[in-house]
Amino acid sequence: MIGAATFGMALPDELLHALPKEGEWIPYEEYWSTSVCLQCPSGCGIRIRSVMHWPVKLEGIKDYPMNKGRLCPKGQSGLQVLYDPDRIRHPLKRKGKRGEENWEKVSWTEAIGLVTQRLKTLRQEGKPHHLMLLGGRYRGHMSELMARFMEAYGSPNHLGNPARGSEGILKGHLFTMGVKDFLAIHWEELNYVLSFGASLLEASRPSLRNLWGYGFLRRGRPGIRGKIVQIEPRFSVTASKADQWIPIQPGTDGALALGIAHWIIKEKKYDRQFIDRYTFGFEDWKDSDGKTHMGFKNLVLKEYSPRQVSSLTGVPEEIIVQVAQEFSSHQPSIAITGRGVGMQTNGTYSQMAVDSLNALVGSIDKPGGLLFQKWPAIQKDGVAEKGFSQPRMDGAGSLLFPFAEELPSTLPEKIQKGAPYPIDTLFLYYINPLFSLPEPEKFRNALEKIPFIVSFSPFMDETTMFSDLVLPDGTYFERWQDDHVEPGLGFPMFGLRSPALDKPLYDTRNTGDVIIHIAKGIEGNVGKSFPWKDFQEALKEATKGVFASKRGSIQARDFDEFWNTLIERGGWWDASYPFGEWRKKFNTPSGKFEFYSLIMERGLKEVSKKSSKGLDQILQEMKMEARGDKVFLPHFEKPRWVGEDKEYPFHLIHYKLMTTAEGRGANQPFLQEIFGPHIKEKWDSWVEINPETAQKMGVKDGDFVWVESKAGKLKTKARLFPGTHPKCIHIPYGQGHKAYGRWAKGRGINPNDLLVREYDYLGGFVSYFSTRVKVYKA
Amino acid sequence: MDTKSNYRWGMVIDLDKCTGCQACVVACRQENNISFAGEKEAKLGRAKFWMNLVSEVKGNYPNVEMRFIPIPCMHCDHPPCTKVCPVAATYKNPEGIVAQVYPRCIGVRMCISNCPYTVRYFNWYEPTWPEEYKRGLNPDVYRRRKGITEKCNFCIQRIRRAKEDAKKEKRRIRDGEVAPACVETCPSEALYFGDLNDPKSQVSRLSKSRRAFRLLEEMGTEPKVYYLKEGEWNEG
Amino acid sequence: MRDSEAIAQKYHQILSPLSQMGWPFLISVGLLSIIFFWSFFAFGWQYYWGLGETGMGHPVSWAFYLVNFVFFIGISHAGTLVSAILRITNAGWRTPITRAAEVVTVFALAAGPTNILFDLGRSIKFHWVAIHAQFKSPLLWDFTCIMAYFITCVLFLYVLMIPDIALLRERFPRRRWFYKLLSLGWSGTEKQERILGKASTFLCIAVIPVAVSVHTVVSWVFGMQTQPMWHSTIFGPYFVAGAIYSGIAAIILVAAILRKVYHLEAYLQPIHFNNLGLLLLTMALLWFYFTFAEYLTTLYGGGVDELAVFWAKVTGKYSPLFWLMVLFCFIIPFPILAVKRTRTILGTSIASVSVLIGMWLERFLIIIPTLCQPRLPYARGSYMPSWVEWSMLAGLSAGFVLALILFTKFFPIISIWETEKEDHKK
Repeated sequence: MIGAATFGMALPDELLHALPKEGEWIPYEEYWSTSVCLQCPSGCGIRIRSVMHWPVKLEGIKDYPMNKGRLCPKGQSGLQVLYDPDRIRHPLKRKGKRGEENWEKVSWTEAIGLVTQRLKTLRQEGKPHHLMLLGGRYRGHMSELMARFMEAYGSPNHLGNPARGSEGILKGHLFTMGVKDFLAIHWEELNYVLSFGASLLEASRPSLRNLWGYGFLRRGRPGIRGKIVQIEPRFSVTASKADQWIPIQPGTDGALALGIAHWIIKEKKYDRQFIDRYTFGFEDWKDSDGKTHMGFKNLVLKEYSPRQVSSLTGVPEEIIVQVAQEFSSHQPSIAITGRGVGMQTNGTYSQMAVDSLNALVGSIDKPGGLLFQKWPAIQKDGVAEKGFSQPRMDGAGSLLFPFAEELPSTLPEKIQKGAPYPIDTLFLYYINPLFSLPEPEKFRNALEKIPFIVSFSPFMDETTMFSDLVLPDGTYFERWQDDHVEPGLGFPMFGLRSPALDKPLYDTRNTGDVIIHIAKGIEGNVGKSFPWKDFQEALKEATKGVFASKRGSIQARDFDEFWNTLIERGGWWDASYPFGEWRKKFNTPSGKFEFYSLIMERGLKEVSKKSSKGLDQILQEMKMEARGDKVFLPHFEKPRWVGEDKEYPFHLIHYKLMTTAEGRGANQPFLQEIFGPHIKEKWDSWVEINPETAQKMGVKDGDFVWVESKAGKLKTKARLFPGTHPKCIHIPYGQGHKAYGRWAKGRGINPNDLLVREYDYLGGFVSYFSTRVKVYKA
Repeated sequence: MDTKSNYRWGMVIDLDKCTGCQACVVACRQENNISFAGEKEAKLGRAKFWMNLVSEVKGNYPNVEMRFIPIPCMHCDHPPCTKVCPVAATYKNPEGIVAQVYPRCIGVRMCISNCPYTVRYFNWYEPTWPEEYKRGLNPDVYRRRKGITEKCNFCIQRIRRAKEDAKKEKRRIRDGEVAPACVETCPSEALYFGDLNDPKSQVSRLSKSRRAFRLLEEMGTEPKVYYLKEGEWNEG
Repeated sequence: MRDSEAIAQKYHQILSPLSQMGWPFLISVGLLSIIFFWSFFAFGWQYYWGLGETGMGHPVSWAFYLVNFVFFIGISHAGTLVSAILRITNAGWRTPITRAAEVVTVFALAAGPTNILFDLGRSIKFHWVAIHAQFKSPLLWDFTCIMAYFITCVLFLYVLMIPDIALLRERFPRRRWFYKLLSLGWSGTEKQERILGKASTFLCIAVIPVAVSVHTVVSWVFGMQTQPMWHSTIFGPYFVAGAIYSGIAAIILVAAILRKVYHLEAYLQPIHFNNLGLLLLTMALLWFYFTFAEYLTTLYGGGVDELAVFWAKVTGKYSPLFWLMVLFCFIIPFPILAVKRTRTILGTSIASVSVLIGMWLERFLIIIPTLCQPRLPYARGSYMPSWVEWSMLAGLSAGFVLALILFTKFFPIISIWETEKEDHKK
């Protein structure tokens, strides 16, 4: 399409030399392509407007169900990732010492050759398990590919987690419903949202779906305006737009949920049909040995009355009753949680308690409720030969963490000690542990024990700075990749990234292609496990399963037509969601929603058998207070804190803003310039303090303060924000980079530096919110 | 259909749906080649936000209130800014948009001080982009120099394009066919744009809603950006 | 020409600066030139990098330059106004000060509008104001009136200087060509005297409405705007009164300094300063009246936006400057000028200095606090001038004084022919 350009000021180099005179009009060529955004886990479909082969604007794909043609500020700022001046432009090999940033340029052949050689040697020496792959939130087929590689190669040390930072929520769902995904919210028919700190309007996933959902909840249906109640210690953006904000003592959300459940059960306002047919463990029951177990009902009625709960949580009794009344009478209603609830030492139980609320009102898998996420039928042909003789390094699945799938935070000590075995080679893909893990200093010391570190990052971030070889990936505009979008719709869908440029902007390669290349170089069964030419071919193979299902938004005669339409539409979805298939969807031993978690019981009993320790001893080692039946029921475990109340009086609440982009937004000036709208801060970090507390400390708005925890201390600007609990302080994520680019570097503070590793052992994850701090004037 | 009568472009912003996400702010900057100010300039207040998201926090813990209002140019029907420009570099075009002739502007800045909504911005320095960003500039929008005043113009380049397309097909622009960058991207569909002269258009109907109000109505500027008040749960 | 020798002899005191060049002169010219040329550098710096080098921003988009603009144009008022009014009323005592007053006017009027040039985003296109003029804009009214006033003032100064230039033509053979050119062949004939008389009467009468209009339209640059505490009907008279106030103070100061430096005690006598002091006193009272009326009205019935600005000035961020202004504009000068005993040359000079500082502050306080508190509170901001703006202010003031000094080296600072005429009358 030919359009017009005035003054020719925005043209690429070729035409810049032929600058038209002021007022002259010149034609340009324009076309649109599709892709999937990568700024956050949501995976919204984007249309890219390219002028003379350079992308100039991003819009949403109009019928893409996740974002319906819209984009959030991070999505709109995406071109600043593509055009980032600090990107790594070609493979780099380290000269000099680690961290000195002394690199020399190498060719791809040489770089891949180095890696292949080393891996081959390791394998020949019989030490394939000395290879560790640290992956971040994998998108789409990359998780399969990486898993395939590690399994074929023979190393169990594969840590890649799609939900790092919210494992508490997932584990809660696992124990009550047997699912390993987040649940989707059916906004289209919802009336009441009881949100325990769910950051719907700031950093939820999927972001666009929830933003749209909020608008729809309020004004999408004439005459119906749904209600949101936000329960969290911080007055967040979501709390400000909610109808009611209930401040709560950190770590006590589980108790509040049980208090609400108490009223619902006592007044018999629960969905009797759902409870009778589709739940297990509500009433007292007898097991196969004839032993009577306590049911959820009696536990709640006995121990969690609103009065008992009120003093614990700081929420007045009448509000608990009011919320319970509304929640049980305004159907459909849902109870959802956020990071703050899940990532405590009692996170798993708190999530189970909130899940119980949904079971009580019967809003699971019903219109207007919470839906299970179905996945597209991506082809998974026989997984490569497993070669695991050695146990995982991180201790996931072991005694203390029986249900964990991965535990990157235990690595520093283990790598340092070289126990149970040393790590020789480390792959870093889509992850930056020196920024995003708590106590990053310890991790950096551990890295020194690893002889060979390879990073696939497109940016010179903190961890890549410490690596030996960089095989830079392109940005999400420059490669073929699929994206199985975050649970948010219930029905299956996936998106496809196709390159928006003829060739990548710099000498970078899709990591998928590189892994296939490396695998082929290693030969043997590793090579055989990767029969495709490149990642695009692997993708095509995988999507054949979707084509074969003959369902969904793309109907084609043959696979080529399917593939081309897929590129054109940007994705595939099958927008029919079958509600009410509880027996199929609850993946529990009883086939029902389990108030009494049989999965947990069986898991713990197995650990007890394997380790020959009694169950009670195991519970003690996992630092749990409850014993007996209570352990398997949702109950309130007292949260454990790092730091005593007297010396460290404040809870550290670190939160994500809409502009945070998983910590990658710091080198995007558009996001930096709008960073903290609620407090009018840009290009900076701050700590939010309650104005009265600040006055007592003699701190004025804008003064510099030290925030100190047991792990360290950081200096930052204090801002007085009335929405702060007197015993809490808030620090936003995203700043505090020590590398990554000119706008990110040396700006603000990173709250991860203050966090001490405390665990929810049952769920098997670091509880990010357990750290307490003290604040004093600088 | 009367193809001769003028359009009268207006915008409606539903504050009950706005989530304060600032997608509109970023989309506008990307579309209109607005340079970012950088840390020092942004802290001096010189960042240019043609669409600005304004926040207000009131109250004491725990009775706190926080509000977000997106503020673009109001495109007043009686604009105070156009009559004070000594070189007529800004004017109200027949379709109601307060447009600008950037090359004509000599940077007097009387329009900036006479705008009661403070939505006009000045280029205090030469707008700069890193070399790599320059490829991503929109060729449809004039790249302003230092010393020029600028502001939101309802993405007039998109309106012109839609008019060309409609003219080819000998029809008027349909309701919802053209949307400025902010309206197109709003995730919660809180922004609406259209022809206020068309009684059937969405903005026309919404602007007459009971919830509708405009900023500084008592000034008599007749802004064409309408806001819809937030709702109460009890209203149903 | 009457006996030029005799006249030159009689008024040698006035003419001595034209022939002598002492060390004090060279040093002061040197210093002032340095400051003046430094401001060229500052302006070049600002022109190259952009207006961002000043302290202005969002929302304070008008600051120092506008303050200086209004201030200098204010000073430019009294000169011609005083001179013209005093001529029309035939107040005899005016004669020694008219020339100095007119000179101050012309140079202040030259200095004022250059501030606008500094303030423009694209100064080099300044002429577009003439080519693409939109007369709805108060700035165009400004442009027109100031042009008219400037032309009128220059003419006024020049026409009334012609006889003196003719005298100089006789006395200074080396510069004869210069003075001959300017004197337009004056030879003191009756016909010429009549033309001169008619021209000066016409100009006297013409300059008064033009002068009033100038500062009125300058005030309307603010008064016509919607900003809180700007949109006030009193601005026109308020600014004119303030202008005359600061102008007279400037004249007093200039006259006092000239008297000291050039030893003109014989001509500039205490009675002159006494009378000027009385004029200044009148203006002080007038200024106080307008200011009081303005602030009382705002306080009594003011809207939210206006009161925000009001309190910022009276008790808030700008209150130190505000009360300083009141001190300098009224509290110090009033007692000095009201009591005859203190209405001496020294007394009126002190009062004048105080008034000048106070009036500059007043201009500052009219512009900046209002811009800091726009109608929509989200855009509130603050302002701190940068080195560029201070340099421009210093440079402009230095240039002004430099021009004055250089003028005294080429033309007599007291009107000789009029003094002679007055003498003859007695």
